[in-house]
Amino acid sequence: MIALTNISFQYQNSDFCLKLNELSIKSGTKTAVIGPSGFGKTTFLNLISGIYLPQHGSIVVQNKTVNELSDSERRTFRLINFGFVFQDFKLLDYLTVMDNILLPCRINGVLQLSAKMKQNARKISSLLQIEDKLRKYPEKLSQGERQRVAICRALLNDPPIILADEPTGNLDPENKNRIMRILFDYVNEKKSTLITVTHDHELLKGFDRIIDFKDIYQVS
Amino acid sequence: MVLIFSIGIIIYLPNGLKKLINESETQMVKRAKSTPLIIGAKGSSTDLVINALYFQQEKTENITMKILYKVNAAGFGYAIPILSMFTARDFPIVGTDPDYFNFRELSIGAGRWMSFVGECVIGRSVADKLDIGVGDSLVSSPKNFFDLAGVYPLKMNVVGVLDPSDSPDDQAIFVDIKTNWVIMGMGHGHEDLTNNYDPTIVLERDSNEVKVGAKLYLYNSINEKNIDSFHFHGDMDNYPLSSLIFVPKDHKSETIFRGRFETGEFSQQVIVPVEVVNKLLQSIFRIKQIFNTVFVLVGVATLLILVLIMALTVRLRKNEIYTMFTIGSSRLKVIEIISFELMLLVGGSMIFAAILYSITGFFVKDFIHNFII
Amino acid sequence: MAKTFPIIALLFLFCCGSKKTKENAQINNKPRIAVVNYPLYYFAKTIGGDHVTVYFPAMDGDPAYWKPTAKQVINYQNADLILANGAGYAKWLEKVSLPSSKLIYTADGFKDMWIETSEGLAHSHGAEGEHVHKGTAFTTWLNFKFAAEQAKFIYNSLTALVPDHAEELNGNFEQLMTSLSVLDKRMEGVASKIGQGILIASHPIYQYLEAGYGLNMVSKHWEPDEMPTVDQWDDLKKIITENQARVMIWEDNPVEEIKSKLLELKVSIVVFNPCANVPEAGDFMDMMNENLTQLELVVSIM
Repeated sequence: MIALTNISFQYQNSDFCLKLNELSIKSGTKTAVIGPSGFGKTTFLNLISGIYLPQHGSIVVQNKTVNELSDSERRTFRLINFGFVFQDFKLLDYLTVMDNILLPCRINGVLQLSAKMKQNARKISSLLQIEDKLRKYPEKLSQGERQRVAICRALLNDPPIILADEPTGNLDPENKNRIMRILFDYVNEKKSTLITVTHDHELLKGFDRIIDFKDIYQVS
Repeated sequence: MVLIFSIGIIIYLPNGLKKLINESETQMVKRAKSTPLIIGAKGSSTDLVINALYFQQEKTENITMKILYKVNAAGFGYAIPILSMFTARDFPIVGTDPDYFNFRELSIGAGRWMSFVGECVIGRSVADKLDIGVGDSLVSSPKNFFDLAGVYPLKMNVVGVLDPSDSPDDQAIFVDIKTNWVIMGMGHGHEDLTNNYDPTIVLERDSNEVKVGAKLYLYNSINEKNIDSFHFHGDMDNYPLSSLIFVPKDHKSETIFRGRFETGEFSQQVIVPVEVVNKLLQSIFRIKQIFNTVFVLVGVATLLILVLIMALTVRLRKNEIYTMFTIGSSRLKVIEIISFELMLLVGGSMIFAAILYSITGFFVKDFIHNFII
Repeated sequence: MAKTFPIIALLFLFCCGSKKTKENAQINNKPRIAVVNYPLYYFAKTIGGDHVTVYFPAMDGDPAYWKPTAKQVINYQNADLILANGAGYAKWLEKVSLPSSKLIYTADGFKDMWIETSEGLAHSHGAEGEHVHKGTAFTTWLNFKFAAEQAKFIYNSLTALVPDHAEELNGNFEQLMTSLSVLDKRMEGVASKIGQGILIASHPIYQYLEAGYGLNMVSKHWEPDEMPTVDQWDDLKKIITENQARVMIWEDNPVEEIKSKLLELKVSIVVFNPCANVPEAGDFMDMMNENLTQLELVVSIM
């Protein structure tokens, strides 16, 4: 369960301010966030995951008040509970596909780079049909394959919440559907929560709930 | 990798140059220290030292054998003649006598010491570079193409190869001083004229004298069959030398002997090689200081470039850093990663520089002997 | 007994070995003097005694014309002192490599008194113009005053080498000088009896004897073991007639044929051996004394 209450957030040295009174998202649901650019959709994801802290209000995720955690606790919380999928994939070009997938284990001591983790990586990559690409570098992959690598990385430690910011923004129609199918299948199987920011209205039919930022949130 | 090599070379250059200069200084001073005094014609003491110690054939005035006898007769030590004017295949031919080898504590690696005029003993580097040994021969080269009529190329027989000595002696071809005089044309060998009636060779003849023409063949090598015919013309007391190495009996003798030059008993100059070399090295030291300053500036520039490269790298990798941070990395971890990369860069450069430095150490002596002294 | 014998044998060998080592060490400690002819050998050995080792390799014929091997040259190179005669003696010295610091020309002390000769034909060639192969006569020791000078040169050199034995060397030197002085006086006595009389020399090797003692000599190029030609005999007869010459000096005994012919011509033979090489019997002094005895005998009969 994700609950945001009386949130007010403003960037430093900026006039942009995101305010919302109350919003909750049930666990195990697939939620699409839509709205015009500049309405704070990505900011919203960053607030949920604890990357940003609101100046006012509270954010409760998995029964933890995220904005009351310390920096280090928030990082650990984020690593364990969230999986991120970005529009531009955000893979490291100098790492192989396998190393990219295992990146979360290398950047924080919380997740151990164990044999089990490696096995898990292989299992997920097999599921996403990129197991034959594990030794390759991202530049050798197609757009669709790269996004699948990013999804493998996001799902490595079976996070309960997946945040996807325009995951199909750079893909062709065939791959778009494929990616969304992968995410939906995973979420359905694991009973995870999926929150996706998207501009693509063709993809909305698969979601349980659609939140239009234009209608609900006050942005100034 | 390019960055590692570039920074490695910049780290190596001042150190490598320093090693080269220090080793050159050491070798030059060692050679100079081991030579008590040099006597030569008045003029440039530097040229004299360079000719006598390192066999580089700078233009120096010659002295004569008379000086050798006079110096030996003075009783303060003994003199070793040096005559270095010619080359054979770009190696200096050094005319001297057997005292030189004892003085320099040289030993024979193959063959034997020279016994006869026309024989030579070569340094180890000469043997290696020209791939010659005992039983082979070397022909002296004219000093320049305008000098073809003035010197007499002589085919010298290699009778010995010296053991390596880590000194300019490795690069030299040693002959008896008389062999050099033959090359200069002051001595030669030819057939007996008593019974030669060839009118193209014998131009005039009477009971006391025979006049011969230029067609008379002068032997261009000395061997067992023709050595008897070799003879020298004129008063050998006036024959030339480049310099003398003087070995005094003791310190007191050296002091008194040097005093004789100041009183005008000898019109030549006597120099203490180590003083001349130290003076020369002071000039090199000044150049070294300039180089050091340049290298410091280059080093500062390199450091600034390195900082710029790191700053640009961080900027270029902003996305990557954001990804790691988003996924769950702390700022410290990111700094750790970038610092580690920097350490690898610097470490790699230093290892590369160290490898280059070791290679320099391995080849520096050969380099010095081939290109510097 | 069976056990003690090997032990005694071992002890014996050990002692002999030790003694040999000691002897070797003694030899090794002595300065090594190399010389180019017998007179110098004699002077060096007489003056130096047991305190020096003198190297004079076996030479066939006249040492002035000897040619060394490479090994022999190296032996000379390794000496502590090389005594050369000087005055152009031993042309081989010009062809070899020797350390100049150790090479002493014993006749250098009277260089201004060297006698010039012309060797064979002069020849001139090339850009240098004319040059004459002027040489010098080199049997300097036949003037016993010069021999004494050479001995003095050697004495000074040896004293510098073995200063610890200077007193003994001095004693030896004085004895040698006395002996040479006796020879000199005898020769002067003979010369005064000969006066202006012409002596014929079989070979041009007595220049210093001639100049040193005021003799008049005519030199030929005759070998003691080679019968001269008719022309050569005719030439000799002419000399005998023109100069009233009655004595011919030979460096060695001429063959019987020559002796008989000279007897016919009423020419007395004197063997005056320059003793440049090791004599078959006796030593330098014996040889010179014998030379003088022969000369005195012939002159007394004249």
